[in-house]
Amino acid sequence: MAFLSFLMRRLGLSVFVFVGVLILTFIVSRVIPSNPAALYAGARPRPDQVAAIEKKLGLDKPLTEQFRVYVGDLLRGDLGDSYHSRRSINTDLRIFLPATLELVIASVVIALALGIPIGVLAGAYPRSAFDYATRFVAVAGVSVPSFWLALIAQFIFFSQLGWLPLGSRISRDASLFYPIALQTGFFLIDAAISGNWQAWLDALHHLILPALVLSAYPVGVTIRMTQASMLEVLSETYVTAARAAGLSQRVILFKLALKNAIMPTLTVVGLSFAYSITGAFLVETIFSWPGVGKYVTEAVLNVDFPVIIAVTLVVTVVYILVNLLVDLTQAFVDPRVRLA
Amino acid sequence: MKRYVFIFLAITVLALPFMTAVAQDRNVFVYGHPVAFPNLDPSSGNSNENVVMGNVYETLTFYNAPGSAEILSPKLAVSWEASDDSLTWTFNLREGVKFHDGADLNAEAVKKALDRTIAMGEGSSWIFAPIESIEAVDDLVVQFNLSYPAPLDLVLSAGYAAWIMSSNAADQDNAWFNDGNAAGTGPYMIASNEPGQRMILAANPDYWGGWSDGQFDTIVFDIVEDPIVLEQMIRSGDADFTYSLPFDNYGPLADADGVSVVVTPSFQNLLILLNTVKEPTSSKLVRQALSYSFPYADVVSSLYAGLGTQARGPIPANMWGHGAELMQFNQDLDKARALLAEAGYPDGGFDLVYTHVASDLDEQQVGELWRASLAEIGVDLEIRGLAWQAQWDLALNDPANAQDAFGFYWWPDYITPNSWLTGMFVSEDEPFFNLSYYSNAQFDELVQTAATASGSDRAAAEAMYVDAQRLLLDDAAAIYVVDLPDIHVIRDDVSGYVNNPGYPHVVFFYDLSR
Repeated sequence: MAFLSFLMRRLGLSVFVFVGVLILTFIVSRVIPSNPAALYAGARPRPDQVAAIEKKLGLDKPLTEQFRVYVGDLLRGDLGDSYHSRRSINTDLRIFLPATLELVIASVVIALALGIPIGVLAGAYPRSAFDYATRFVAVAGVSVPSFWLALIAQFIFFSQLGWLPLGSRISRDASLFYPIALQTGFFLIDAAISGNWQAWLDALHHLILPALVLSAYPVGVTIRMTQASMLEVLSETYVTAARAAGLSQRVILFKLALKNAIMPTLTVVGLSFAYSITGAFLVETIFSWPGVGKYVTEAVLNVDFPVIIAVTLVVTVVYILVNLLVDLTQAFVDPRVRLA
Repeated sequence: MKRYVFIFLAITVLALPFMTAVAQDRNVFVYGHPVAFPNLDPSSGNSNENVVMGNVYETLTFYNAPGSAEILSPKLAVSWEASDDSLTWTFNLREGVKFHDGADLNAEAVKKALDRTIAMGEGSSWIFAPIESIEAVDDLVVQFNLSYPAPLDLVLSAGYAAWIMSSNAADQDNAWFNDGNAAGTGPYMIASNEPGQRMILAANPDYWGGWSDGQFDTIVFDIVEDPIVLEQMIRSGDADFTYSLPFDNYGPLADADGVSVVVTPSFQNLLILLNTVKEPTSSKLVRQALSYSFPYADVVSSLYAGLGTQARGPIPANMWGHGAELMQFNQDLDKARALLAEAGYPDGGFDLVYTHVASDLDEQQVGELWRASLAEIGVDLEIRGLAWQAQWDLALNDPANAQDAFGFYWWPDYITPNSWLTGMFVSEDEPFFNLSYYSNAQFDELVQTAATASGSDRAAAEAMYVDAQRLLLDDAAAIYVVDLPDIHVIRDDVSGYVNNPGYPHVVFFYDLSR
């Protein structure tokens, strides 16, 4: 019962945040001096064209009326149309959001796969050479700007070694000869569903480098967090007891200690997931990755407000959901959290 | 763990040569395209998607590249004629042309396609404003009734809005087109569209022009925003064509093996419109002085890697009606000082505001170079970078308090010298793009008469356009800065490429071969 009320309180708070973001972005988009109807009409529109479009888009109505219409559409799940391309934003996001999520999820998987074992070992052997090397990697991962890392990675793995492609989501040959039938928008999933292994490999090949670059931050955070909580846990008496009982180092580290040390790590990874979505914007541009970042960058350059608002809302929702998930997991694992 | 990663990588690397092997039995042309295609609707698209439109759809008439014997050549129309008053135009359509969806090209289809574009009223559709009605007179004869005289043969060659789509396609909405569907008559069809990433065109086997060996059967647009990557692609042969690289890189690129840099004049130019209703630029003498103060040579050599040319009047040199015999302003600070003195400003002593689009570094540089020259004649120039909309609003709201000098690019919507003159200098009740607020009845009359005559007597029209520009130059309504170059990079093993500035950055792949 306490859990349910906790859930309700968190959900209520989320809705409050969402509405706040909605109102703010909407107002900002209308207050900034620009003429959306002229944007919609394209380069060098005629005055009568602009007037007709203003009417068509409802921009001649008062702000409150426009907001009412927008919220009405939103409740029906319609994010509206881009002024620049006239395309439905829902359609666009169905293509671009999975591309970003595929990248971000891959980077988080890398972060967990690399960060946890390294963090555990660094925590187990403090002040060793490995510990210092790890600290260096972790601090670098968190503080090196992703665009710089991206360029260096491209230079090494594309220009020098020729192992990995420079950018884009899939190779030209795969597009030509093994086109992926899109269902979910996640290339690895769609290619696997249709048994298109050529394209699957190709997509994976293209995913590696941007995902690695994007994982730098979460890897760094995961290492630091795991290491810190391992240090704490390893000084507990039950670990000493386990040692005295003659349990192997492996069992002590990965079975006993990690279980108690992992919670803060998961929390931080969850938060860095949300962070990575916006971090992906830069990485996407450098790797020609057709995701939400590239999409919204173009929208900003074109002052395409419906797209900017829609992407802001969607990212807000992802943030809220991830935060909620993290809170719920914590609450579920550690009942004390619910009281807070 | 490590082992699995290694196996993964090994398989991935091994799989790639296999795929490239398959690619060799196709003749593929790759266009490294710097921007995405925003709107694939042939009625409303008026941006970079024109390169897709130009290969998938066709127009009734085709605007030939400058230097051709004729201005227009037949495309979907084989012949056409105008009534003496230029109010009725009759086009005879090509026989045996099929749309990609199998429908026949006929007068009904042409009417339906253009009616759709006109009814939507978006993009460049205003070029059809003179059209009162379209009639399918016969299966292959279509007649246009105009409400005022206009060179409809030129209008129908436009690179925007004039595309003819099948009747089925004309029934569809914008979303249908933007899902990658199309039904034109062109030599290529859209095979796949990955928005923001790549588009693939496949040859239309039933194209009315027929096919011969060496022509490309597959066209790939790779959307790559990063100019450095684009340059890598063209250098390595990974792309066959591209543009919009940093200007400084064209020099070294021209020396690279297997690559040619093609520089041709475009139909776009950069001007500075001078405010003719606000002190002190309302004085013709002051405007002339400003025209003499401008550092033309420095600007031309420092912009666009020096590949542009100094403009003479508004109409660029590769367009009929240009008037090579017209006077050209050159920098002459003594003359400028004398003119200022004559106007009552012996040592200058006034400030001017020059506005430009904030993100446009070329326009900004123009301002900085000009400011240095103006300082020498005692005039202080404030350079103000604004968002385009803000710059335009400032000009529209109150001309008497607007900027003194307005940095402005012009390009024609359909290719006629009239575009520059009517667009920027014919009197307007409410300012729109005449942002000099220039008003000269004699000029208006000349341009109007020339427009009517251009359908029937092109030589007479040309003479009138030149006379009209003479008035403009004497009134110094604007500073004509530079006619911009088109700069494209193409691989040497591709033959048949000619740049046509009438269709900016459009490559007509059908003309190419390897």
